[in-house]
This record gives sequence, structure tokens and C-alpha cells, in this order.
Amino acid sequence: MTKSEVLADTRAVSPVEIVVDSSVAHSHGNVVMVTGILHLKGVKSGKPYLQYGRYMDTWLRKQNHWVCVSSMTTPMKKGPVDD
Amino acid sequence: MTSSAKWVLGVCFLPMCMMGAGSTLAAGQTDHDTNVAIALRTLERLKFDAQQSKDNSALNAMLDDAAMLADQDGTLRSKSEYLAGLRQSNVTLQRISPESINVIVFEHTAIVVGIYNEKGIEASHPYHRRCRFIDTWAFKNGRWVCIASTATSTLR
Repeated sequence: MTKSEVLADTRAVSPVEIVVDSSVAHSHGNVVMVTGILHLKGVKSGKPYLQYGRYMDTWLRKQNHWVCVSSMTTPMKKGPVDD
Repeated sequence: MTSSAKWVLGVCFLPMCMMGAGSTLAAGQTDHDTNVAIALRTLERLKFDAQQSKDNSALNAMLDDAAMLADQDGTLRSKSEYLAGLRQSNVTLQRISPESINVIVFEHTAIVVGIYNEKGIEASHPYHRRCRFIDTWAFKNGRWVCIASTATSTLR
């Protein structure tokens, strides 16, 4: 998805609860890699669901601002701790 | 699954200039960027070759010591864990090759996004995976090293 698609998608959806767990960041000068596990809670067709995903974001320092230049989330069967 | 969930689980986003089919570099990128993109495409192919042949020496040279590596199941590994796992893996990797490789350069950092196909045998069962990947490369000490790698299956 492009940035504009992500923004449009975010506006369009029903609220979901996202909890970030096990977040880790590694700095490499002007670029920082951030990873962690997302717990995504929501309701679909009247039924609650809980999904997990490993996200990895690349943050870059550009003109004195940190901007996210890429992001990927991989579905996980289970989180680190059973809810 | 909501569209938000689709974004959160299994979909990546990248700058607009990455998205043209078959495009490697966006308008406005320099000759330097073009040269970096060519070099990183080559490095990516070498990385896939090294994975297939379990060439830890080559992978050791390409991966930064602080690299973070996420498998397509979400497992996070350090460089040393990844290299050790490659040797001990009960997976027979028959073929892993890129289907597409796109590069966007931000001076001393570059994002590589693409698709790869992987075929092999795991626990006596043949498998085929088609995954989208994002590798982040940084220019350190006069050379490009991979500082992070993540992948997710495109097969739902």
C-alpha cells in the first residue's frame, strides 16, 4: 500500500484496539529499525477477534524529523503471551 | 477481517514512488541512487543464492552484526541466531529466488522490496512459499550491509 492508501484505509475502518508488545529498536545513525508484536482486537460480524502480528518499521531522520519509510506486518499464529 | 486488519496483518506500505510496476527508481532520483540500486539488486541476488546454498560466510558479510531478521511466521532472530539456524535447519531448501526486486534510496539507507518464491522440503513434506519481503540496507564503513529483513506470505 502507498502512503495515501494507508491514510484512506485508516479513515475508513471501524475502530480496533491495537496493543504493542515486545517492542525493540536498533539505531544505525540516521535510521532506526523498530520491531514488536501487535495484538489487534476488533469485532467482525458481531464476533470479537484477536490477531497477532510481527511489525517491522524503518524510521529515517529527514530534515530534523523522524519519518517512517517502510512498514511490514507479518501475521503470527500466537502472541508471546496467551491472552 | 476489516480493511484495517488487512493493513495491520500482512500488508506493507512504502512511498508512492515505489509502486509503479517494474519501476526501479522514481523520477528525481540521481545517478548515485541509480548506481546504489544496481548494486543492491546484485547484493540481493547474492543474498538469495547464499541462503539457498547455506553459505554462512557470505551471509555473515552481508548482514550487519545488529541485524534484525523476521521470518514469515513472525519469529524474530538476531544475526547469530539466524546463521546458526540456517545450519541446523531441518528444512531442505531446494530453490529460493526473487520474482521482483525494487529499490528506493535515501542517501545512506535503502529499502528493497520485492517478492520471492521458495520451494523445499520440511518434515518430509514439500512446500512452496511466495513471500513479499522488505530488506533495509545501510551504508556503513564503506559498504552496504543489511540491517533488517522481514517477509510475509502472499498466499492467504
